Amino acid sequence: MEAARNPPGGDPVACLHRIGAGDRDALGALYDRYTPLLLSLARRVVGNAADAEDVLQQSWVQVWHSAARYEPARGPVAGWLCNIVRSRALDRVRSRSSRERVEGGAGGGGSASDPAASLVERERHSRVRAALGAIDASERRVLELAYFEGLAQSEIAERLKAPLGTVKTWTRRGLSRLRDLLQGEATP
Amino acid sequence: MSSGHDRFLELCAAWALGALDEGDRAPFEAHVAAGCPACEAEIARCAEAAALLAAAAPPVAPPASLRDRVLDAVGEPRRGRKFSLAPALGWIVAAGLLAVVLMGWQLVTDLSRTVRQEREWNELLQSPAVPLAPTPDGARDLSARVHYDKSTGRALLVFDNYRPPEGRAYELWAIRDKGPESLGLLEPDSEGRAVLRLADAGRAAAFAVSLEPPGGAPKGGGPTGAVVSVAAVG
Repeated sequence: MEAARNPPGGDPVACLHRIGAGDRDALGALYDRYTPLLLSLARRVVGNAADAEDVLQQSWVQVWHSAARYEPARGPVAGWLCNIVRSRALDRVRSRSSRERVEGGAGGGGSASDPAASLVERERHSRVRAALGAIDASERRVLELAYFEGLAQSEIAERLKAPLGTVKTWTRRGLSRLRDLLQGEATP
Repeated sequence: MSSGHDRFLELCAAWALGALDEGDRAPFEAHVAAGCPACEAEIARCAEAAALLAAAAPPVAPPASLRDRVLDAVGEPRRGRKFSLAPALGWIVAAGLLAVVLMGWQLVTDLSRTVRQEREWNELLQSPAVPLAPTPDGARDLSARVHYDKSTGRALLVFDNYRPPEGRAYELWAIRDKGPESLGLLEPDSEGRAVLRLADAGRAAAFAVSLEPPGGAPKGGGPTGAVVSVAAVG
């Protein structure tokens, strides 16, 4: 189950160009490289395997049709893909009642990782969890509520009973600290 | 740098996290769209950090079947297929709809029963689980858990990586006071995943899995092969 050390598919930006031209092999290469991360993200947001896999399928179809819209200046390919998956996963959560969540659920925050996940994924997960553990608890909570639960800053302020200005500061400082702590960590 | 510029620079992190309120988002995006190298650079930095945040989600191994699903889904012609129903088929559709209406009541009754049963299983699934720990005879990557309600005997088992060697099968056992009793063979998918719902597994002190010949151990006896994992629930 060990993932290849050398990411498949070569340069992800070149892959996106090829996908834009209708190259299915390029989509397969990008899929192989990013799906472990993207499925974990979807699973964390929607809380169950079946919905997460549906979200992934829809997201890759979206990538297939909108690869040309990726703008390198706005961040790495991984970030762009994560945004697509995250957005679809949050839509899925919003469109169903909480009763339908079978396992876990958004905000669960559990760290039980799938033993079948590759060693590379599990190691990266440990490093990011450690970095999150090292930042201020309020900052961490804000990042998690924003990223995994899709709350806007005013909603976070309401949830945490904190002033909006403070939440804005926590957001900015939290992400900045995470970035500093993970400096040198290769973008997935 | 205008006095308002710092305000936009401070919004880059929230934008990268998708957490900007509507009131902030529109002016922010207008500002960036008008061209602001400083904000562009900050957005790129924040987006990179946000992508790392995704790795804070517990890692999940993608099932092999998902890759096929994705590639099949994009295998369609890009412009989509054009469906044209022959008019003569219209009455068939109408007849089908009528049949659905007539069957409606029966379906509603069945559905409510199914929903009730599913809810009971979901409640069990949300109860604490006991892992089936691999024994020295079991591969370390075997992963399974059992949700077991002693009062009703209801059990739900989830298996992962249970791919039996060629020509062998995994068999599940309930360990009772009088000895082991077979609960049947596992039928995992190609990824070794299986979910077993047992409406009444009876009183068990433990659940165990053994590696057996394809048809399982001889009926009435205990395991004949190595026990690969076990969970004490007594």
